[in-house]
Amino acid sequence: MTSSIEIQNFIIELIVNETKIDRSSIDIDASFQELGLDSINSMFLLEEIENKFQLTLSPLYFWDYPTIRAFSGLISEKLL
Amino acid sequence: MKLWNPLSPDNIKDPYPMYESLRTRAPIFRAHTGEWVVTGYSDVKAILKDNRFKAGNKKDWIERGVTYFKSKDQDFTAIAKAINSFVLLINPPEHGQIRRFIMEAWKDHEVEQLISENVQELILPIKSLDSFDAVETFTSRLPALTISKILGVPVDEYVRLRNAGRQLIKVINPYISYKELVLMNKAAKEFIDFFRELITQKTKIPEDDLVSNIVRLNKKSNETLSENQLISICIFLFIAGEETTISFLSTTILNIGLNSKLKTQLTKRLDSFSDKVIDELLRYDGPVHLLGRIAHNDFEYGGYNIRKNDVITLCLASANRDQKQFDRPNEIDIDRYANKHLAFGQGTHFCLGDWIARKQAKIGLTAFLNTFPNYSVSNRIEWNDNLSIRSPKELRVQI
Repeated sequence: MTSSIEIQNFIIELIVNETKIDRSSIDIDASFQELGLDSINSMFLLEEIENKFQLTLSPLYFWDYPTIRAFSGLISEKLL
Repeated sequence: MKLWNPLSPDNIKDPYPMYESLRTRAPIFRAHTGEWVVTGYSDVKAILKDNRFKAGNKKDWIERGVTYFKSKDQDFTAIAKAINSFVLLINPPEHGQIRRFIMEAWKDHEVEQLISENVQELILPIKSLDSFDAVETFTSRLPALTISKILGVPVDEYVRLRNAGRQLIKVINPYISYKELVLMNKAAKEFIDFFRELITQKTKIPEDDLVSNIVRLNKKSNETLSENQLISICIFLFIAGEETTISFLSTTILNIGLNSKLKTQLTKRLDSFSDKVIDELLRYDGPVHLLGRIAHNDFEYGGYNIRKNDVITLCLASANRDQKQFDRPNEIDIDRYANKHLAFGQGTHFCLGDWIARKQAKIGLTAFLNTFPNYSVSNRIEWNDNLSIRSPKELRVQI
């Protein structure tokens, strides 16, 4: 069972690696765009998340659930 | 509820209610996905003719993607190479040069007889069956078989290239996943290797086919195209009419099968699929739903501030159902007058292959309806998860 916090931490880790933003300054309610993601690097992130949690995610989810909190919520729902 | 939700299965199954609510509430809509979604007839038409909106947003995107994924040790250069000279994705002056080149090479190529033979060849094995999948046996084979014979591709290769083509065409979808990119790159490599070889062969021993014509024409041209450009042109010629024709034939067989009144009307006519009828079927449920454009610079359009590099998604299929342009837009009226639909686009990028698309539709659908006048279909259809060119995964037909 993966908790929502673990999922959030995994996504934060990915974003830190990708954007080199300082971990402490990441706001989980900021939009992915505000965090420096775009339609290309988000595709890579989506793939990493799919592989980690063994899920298939629509490319549109990145826009439909545009924050770390919302996205993690979606994944924990999918994992139920 | 979101106004723009193009990947939801309900909207792929029937996108017309989504289009209608967009047209009514926000015909030029800034979606949460970042792009402008345009659904009304007059705006779609105006933007297609307005050169501040350039073609090729996906080409730019793929090129940026190739650079990005290099840093992840993933090579997607084959996709960029394969689509590099797609007329659909390039702008003047290169667009005009390549478009003229294709038209000149294709000149005087007789295709009607060829399409009739292909249709008969495909119908023969399914003629006596009680039930079959019309996509696998008929609609997905016809365009690939036809273009293979026109180009001079050996017939035993056409199914393999059809599969690769159905993969690579996803490059025009507005939203793409990493896994799809991997498959597209594989398909692109397959195409590049195949056409490089074919071009070499046709250079040595030219025959009476389109690839030989292309090679010949390029040799005597003042502005010679590179081998990579020729390969990309051949790939484009192969795939441009593929998914679109599969989609149009399949959805039309479905729409007629579900509408017994229409089926009776068509069966009674001497010329069931006249130009007028084909135009109405294209308007009602044409294959290309979404077409991308990119803003060339900052400007104002229709009261909105468009910024340089903004992406614009034009919904052709929505424009064709706009009640401001068409009376009773949600009905098929085979006697519809002055039907100025946008199924083939408009302006500089107007579909190069409209005539061959029309011929394949006319000959294919006529033969299908003549052979199977009492066919029926179920409306429980699974659709491919692609709204750009919308088509059923499978179309089970009962005879």
